[in-house]
Amino acid sequence: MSAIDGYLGDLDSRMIGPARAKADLLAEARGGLIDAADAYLACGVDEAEAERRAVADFGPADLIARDYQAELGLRRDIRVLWELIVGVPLLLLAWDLARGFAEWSRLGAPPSWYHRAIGTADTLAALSPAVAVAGLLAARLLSRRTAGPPVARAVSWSLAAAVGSNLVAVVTYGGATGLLEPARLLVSVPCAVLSGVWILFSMRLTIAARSFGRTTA
Amino acid sequence: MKADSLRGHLDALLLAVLDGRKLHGYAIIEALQLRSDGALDLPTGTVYPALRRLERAGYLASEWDVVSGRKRRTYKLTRSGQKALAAERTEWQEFTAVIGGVLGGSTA
Repeated sequence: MSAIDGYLGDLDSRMIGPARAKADLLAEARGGLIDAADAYLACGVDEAEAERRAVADFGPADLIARDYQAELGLRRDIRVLWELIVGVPLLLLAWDLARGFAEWSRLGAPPSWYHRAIGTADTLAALSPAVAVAGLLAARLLSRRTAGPPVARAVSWSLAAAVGSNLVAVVTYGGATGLLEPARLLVSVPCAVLSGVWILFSMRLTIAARSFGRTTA
Repeated sequence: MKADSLRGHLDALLLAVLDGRKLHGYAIIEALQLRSDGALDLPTGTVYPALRRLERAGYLASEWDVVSGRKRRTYKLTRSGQKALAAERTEWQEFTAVIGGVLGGSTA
């Protein structure tokens, strides 16, 4: 194994994050290392020594991996924020459309507490992508002033708040409806399917946001 | 020059090197070393994450290009990056004027 391959393997093993983003970062690092080795080769150094020098110039793997991991972690969190910004409004919209086709008239008028609960859930669901947008803006602005922990913390906190807000909304929708009359959950097939999709989507977001606490520690 | 004293200025240096041109990572490192006559001595691996951060800040745009027969990620300044660079240059000139005035050797 060449010095460059060994070094990249070491970097790779120290990084956790989305496969595509990781491959992208490592591909760029490989290109830079090969360019550096080529420059040494052009000076008359043999290939093994050129690679060794290129790797030495790049920096100790543990130090460099820390910077790369910070970048990778942020990219993962930012991707989840984008999924939420797109996914939650789409689900809200689809739910509103599907509700129009259901036979709600054959059900009795719900009590006022139910309206209040659904109103709260609506607010939380709408708040969730708004918090995510604020997180992305904070990431952009903070990246202009500082590197590392403050940016990661801002993104992690907004991710936790946005995912939490969406989760509480979903639990409130389902919980309030189930308490009132479980049969309402199945009165419309499109609404029931969308509810299932929303629950799965929320679980996915919650799992994806599990990094919270590691980056804010 | 020590890496620690450079870290605080790395963003401005990277923006300056990319002023008016599009370069890939290693070409940026070469340009930094060339302009400083080799005095800028920092682990080259720290430059790549810094470039990604500047891209996230909206100061740089990047894409994969084929340069000299190989696929390379190239970077260029955005409009925000140009403004940030102009602000950094003004701030640096003011800073050096003030410090130079004091350390410049005048005994008045």
